[in-house]
Amino acid sequence: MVTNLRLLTQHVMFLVLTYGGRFGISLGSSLPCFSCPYVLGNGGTCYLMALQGNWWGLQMTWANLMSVMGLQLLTHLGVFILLVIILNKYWCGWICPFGTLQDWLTYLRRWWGIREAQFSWLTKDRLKVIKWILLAYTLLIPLLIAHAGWHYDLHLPFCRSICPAKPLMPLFIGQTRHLALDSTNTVTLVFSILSVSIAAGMLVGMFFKERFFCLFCPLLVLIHIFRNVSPVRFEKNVAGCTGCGNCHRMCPMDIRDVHEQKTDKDVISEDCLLCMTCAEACPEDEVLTIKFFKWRLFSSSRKYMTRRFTKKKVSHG
Amino acid sequence: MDKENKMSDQRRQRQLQKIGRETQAEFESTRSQLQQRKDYRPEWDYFLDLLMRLFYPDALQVAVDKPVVEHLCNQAPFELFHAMGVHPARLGSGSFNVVRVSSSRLPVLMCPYLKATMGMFELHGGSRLDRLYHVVPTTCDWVVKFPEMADTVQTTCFLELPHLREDEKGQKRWLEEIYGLVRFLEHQTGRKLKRKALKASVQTFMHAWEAVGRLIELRRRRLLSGIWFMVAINSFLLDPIEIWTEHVLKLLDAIQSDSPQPLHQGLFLAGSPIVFPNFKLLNLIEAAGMDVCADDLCTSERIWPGGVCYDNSSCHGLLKTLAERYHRACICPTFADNERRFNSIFNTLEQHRIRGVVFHVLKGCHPFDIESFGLEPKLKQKGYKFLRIETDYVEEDSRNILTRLEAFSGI
Repeated sequence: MVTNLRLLTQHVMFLVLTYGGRFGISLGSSLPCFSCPYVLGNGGTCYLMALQGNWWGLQMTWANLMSVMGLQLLTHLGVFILLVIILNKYWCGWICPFGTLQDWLTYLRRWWGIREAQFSWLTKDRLKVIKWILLAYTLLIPLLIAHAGWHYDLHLPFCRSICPAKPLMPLFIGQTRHLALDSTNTVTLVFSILSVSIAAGMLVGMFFKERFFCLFCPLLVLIHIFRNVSPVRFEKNVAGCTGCGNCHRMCPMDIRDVHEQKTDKDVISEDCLLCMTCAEACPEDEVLTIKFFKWRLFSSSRKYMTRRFTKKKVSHG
Repeated sequence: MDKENKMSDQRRQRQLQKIGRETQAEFESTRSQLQQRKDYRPEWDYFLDLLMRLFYPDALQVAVDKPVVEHLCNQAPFELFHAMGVHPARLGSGSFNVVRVSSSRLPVLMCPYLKATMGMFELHGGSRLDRLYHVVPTTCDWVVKFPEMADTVQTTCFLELPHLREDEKGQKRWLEEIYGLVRFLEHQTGRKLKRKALKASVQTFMHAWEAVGRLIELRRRRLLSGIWFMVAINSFLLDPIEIWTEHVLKLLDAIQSDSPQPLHQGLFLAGSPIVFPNFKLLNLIEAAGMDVCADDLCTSERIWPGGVCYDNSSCHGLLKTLAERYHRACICPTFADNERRFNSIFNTLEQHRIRGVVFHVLKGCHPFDIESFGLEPKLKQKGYKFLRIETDYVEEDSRNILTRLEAFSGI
């Protein structure tokens, strides 16, 4: 079962990325997922910090860029691109530890039978732009610090003021200091207030709405940019779709594109996490297919869907 | 004047009794014809017995032992009725005889399926006391006016069907209608809808869907004839669902253990509904040396447009799931955004190498009548054969239809 395999992968990767460093595991600092660098003893860190930083990122001055550090920047960027090309959105749906945390909150809500919050289609469409704004914020401020003389206290703007993983993920190693407000100066105070407030808001949002943070995740956009060069393919046999809407309803991101696509076979959209839930829920044979190069990883089928969503025993009543 | 009325009433009673006897004979004769087929097996008796309940509605009431809600069309979620402790029974009749009961009071061009339904309704008027309420999704004009013609408006819950399914507005409106149905059922039964009951009900119907999926597979492989498939599917909801599912599973085991040989050339049957005992077209198709191995009739495969799956198990989540399953997934021609219906037909034809489509149009069944003209050029463009058969609840055109089917089979 795809779901079980995904759950297993998610949990193994959560352990590796959160505690792996304590056992000598280091997957580098170019990972395309929210493996927070503020978690001490992690097994690898999110590329967004490296991208914003002054060691291997955009905050590098021209002088540094032309030195060996420039090569390091390219190496990190190259590794990031390579990882994105190989696994593409699998990073989001199968590996990202912050995604796993969001899924736990969703399981908790479902277990309590609490209904999920719904956005109207218009609201959902309007929210899409926020990811791009956050990406611009993440990329522009380091550049402005390096080249326009903006104050250094603004460094790592996304990690320090927006990312909810920074205050939340260290809690898994018992570290609470990122929940505190940093009153060193106005910038740090504003950043820490923003960080804690956004984390609190996200926590509530993630409880009531599945994968709520992913709606705003700038990394998702970065990964999506490379979809056309990735061997990971998500295709739809549009002729076989009866329009039942299972794919839309079951999608943790409420993506309509898979259901609405009636002409093109490529259905991997900006918000897609490649969790494959839609393909599992599709009752038509071979309508939704996930491929790696030409190899089929999974195809929808009536039999699979029946097995997946039917409990064993027939009750008599 | 009173004497005249009394005489008229007596005449009407005599007429009803006569038609009743003839209709009963029609049901029994169709059943006995089926039992005399070469491919008959004793397991079919259960399903044939159930089909007789279409003529003896009280037998259904006794069998299910709970209030029966009659509904038209397939858009009202069966799972919801089941969870509310009532049994859904589909209104619909295939009897040719019973049309005479109602035809004098109905428009000549009215769909015979509903004329027969109305006739059966009147024929059993006195014995339907336990069926206190009805559910009618507003699909076609005849269905919308049915409660008015049958004088059941007061006990009918109309579900106003949005004819556009793929926009948010239509989906939201339909969900509101489903909530309206919940309120209606809660009011009528005095019970509250429980999340656990709804979840259990969804599972119960998923088992039925799974079993039907296996039946469909057998028919696709030409190992089960179109007529027997229709017998099994027509009997759906004529017994408690759990018992019916068990019998379908037993039947499947029995058929598969015999390793049957593939039947005739397979074709796809689209169009207006076919209900027992009106197996005229199915018989003629067989007589012409073909067999129906796939269809999209609302009294057959289209009852199950897809399994129910949900990730939100709150009551709202389950109702939303059911609303979508019965609206968005429905490919009734009444909808305006219906290109996926054609997709579904093309896909089945391609997957199972079926070369021809017979399109059944009952006279007065406008949605299918209109649609046949849209489908024909599309099919022919893709190289499939297409035959449109327009017919009524009469035997007189059988020779003519058979000749056309034989010619179609020879192409």
